[in-house]
Amino acid sequence: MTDQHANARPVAPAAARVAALEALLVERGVITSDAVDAVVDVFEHEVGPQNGARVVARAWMDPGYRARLLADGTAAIAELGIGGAEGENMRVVENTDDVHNVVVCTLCSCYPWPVLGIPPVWYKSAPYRSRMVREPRAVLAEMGLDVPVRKDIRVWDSSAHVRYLVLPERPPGTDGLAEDALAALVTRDCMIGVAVPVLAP
Amino acid sequence: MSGPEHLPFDEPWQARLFGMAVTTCRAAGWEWDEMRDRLKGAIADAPGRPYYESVLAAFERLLADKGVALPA
Repeated sequence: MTDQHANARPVAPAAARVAALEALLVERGVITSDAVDAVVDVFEHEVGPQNGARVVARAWMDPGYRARLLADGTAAIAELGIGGAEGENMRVVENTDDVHNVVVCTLCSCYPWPVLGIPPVWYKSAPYRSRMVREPRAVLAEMGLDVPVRKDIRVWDSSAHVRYLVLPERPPGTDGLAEDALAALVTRDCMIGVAVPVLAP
Repeated sequence: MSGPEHLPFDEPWQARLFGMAVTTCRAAGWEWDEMRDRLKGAIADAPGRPYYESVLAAFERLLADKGVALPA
């Protein structure tokens, strides 16, 4: 190991390389730091799973919306004013008594930004990407979700062409809840399919 | 939106890199697919490498392929 380190050309830490790239691109007039700030701010504060949760809660409240959502995810999501890059071809898959859906991107990290934001670290990890397709029931159990054996598990591989969002089942005991309260039950993981919504005790 | 599980980036440079890649593709008129294709390649080349380091390698490759000279 020591020899390899001694012989290898030193590589600057990632943070330094990123800073150097930004300085270069700004100097060349390709980008401005203000534009980068604006993109980062949107993804840190505005775009995130709260958008997807609104979609799910509306679908639970409104059967007509639910039907439109399952028929044309992109258009129905746009009805709520949500859309943009990486959300152009949305397909919504519905959990039922018989089927549990879960989403993965086996090749990289395709993910529906407008409804879920930036993917979590584990979604981008090699073990999740490779194992979810082969042994979904085991991986889900390790992540804390025991899917009843009566349910089929369908694994959807996100790609450049289609992004998936899981529509979870509405938990029992939520009949009296308003849409905002329903949305609060819907986490990012529920919409990837590695968890299901539960009513807090 | 609250709680650490919603924070999309572990370190500031990751946010900077992501924002820079998105901004550069928009400004230059490059399809995000061009970045994505290189990210797939970077992940396949080094499956154990941390994700954002693969993003960085992919972005550097994209710039090089587009003829943007990088600092040594």
